[in-house]
Amino acid sequence: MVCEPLRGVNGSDVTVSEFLQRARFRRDHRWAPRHMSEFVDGELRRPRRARMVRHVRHCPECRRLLGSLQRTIGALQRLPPGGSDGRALQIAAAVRLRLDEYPAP
Amino acid sequence: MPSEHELIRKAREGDQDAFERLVAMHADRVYGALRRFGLDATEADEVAQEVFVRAWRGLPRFHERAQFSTWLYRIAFNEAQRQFSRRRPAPVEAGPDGDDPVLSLPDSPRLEPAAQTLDREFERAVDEALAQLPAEWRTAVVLRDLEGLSTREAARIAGVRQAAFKSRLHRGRMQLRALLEPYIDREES
Repeated sequence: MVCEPLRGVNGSDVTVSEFLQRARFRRDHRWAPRHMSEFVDGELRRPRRARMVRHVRHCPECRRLLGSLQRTIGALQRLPPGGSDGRALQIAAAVRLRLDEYPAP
Repeated sequence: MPSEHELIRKAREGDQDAFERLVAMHADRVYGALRRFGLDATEADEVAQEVFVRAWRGLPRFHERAQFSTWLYRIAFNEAQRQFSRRRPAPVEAGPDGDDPVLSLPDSPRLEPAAQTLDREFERAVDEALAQLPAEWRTAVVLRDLEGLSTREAARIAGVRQAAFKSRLHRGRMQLRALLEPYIDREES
């Protein structure tokens, strides 16, 4: 099939195919940043996952954002759990003293 | 050394020694989570005790369908909310579920990178950045990314549907990404 050129808003000629591609890109560009966390967590279902992959392959801005988000989440998940600076035993002792106030469960 | 399951069974029968050992095993994590939820050191100390006293009283209702630690997080989350409501009127925050996470990002990171990359420094930067998030976003990030719970468990603890939880989590992560970018990029390079 031969695509007839369309007259674009700026006067340039675009094919129907190009026009649709650009419209899809803009739609995906709005959609992708909102779903990046789910993508990183592996919670995006297959068609949407493919949509994300396809978009970031063609969009440097979203590719950079996704990479940065992945690195942030990775760094957060590698942090050691928050500790009590050695207060665990003190807390345990203080709790023990309070248990007598309450009947055995 | 008795297993956690065994200690829970004994504690349920009224064995205070067994329960004290359970407290000693979990106090670090509970205290740490309370701090990251936004409580100061004194509050976290008091609230951690309250969490375990409530756990002691609630043991008959704990049937080990969830992990003991997850159950404690749930109590800790509720006690932290109670503490926040006692501490001050609920802060007016710009609709944590309504803002666009990308459009509402800060223009530039407010955290100044220091000369050296140190894990401890990064931890401090995370704590400072967390403190800048609305409470609901912060809780989502703490439960999911720092405490390592699944989306399902974390949403249950936060008392919201998974979709709402994911939205809060994403907004929190996006804001942290913007705030921590200098540290993350430096680590990568």
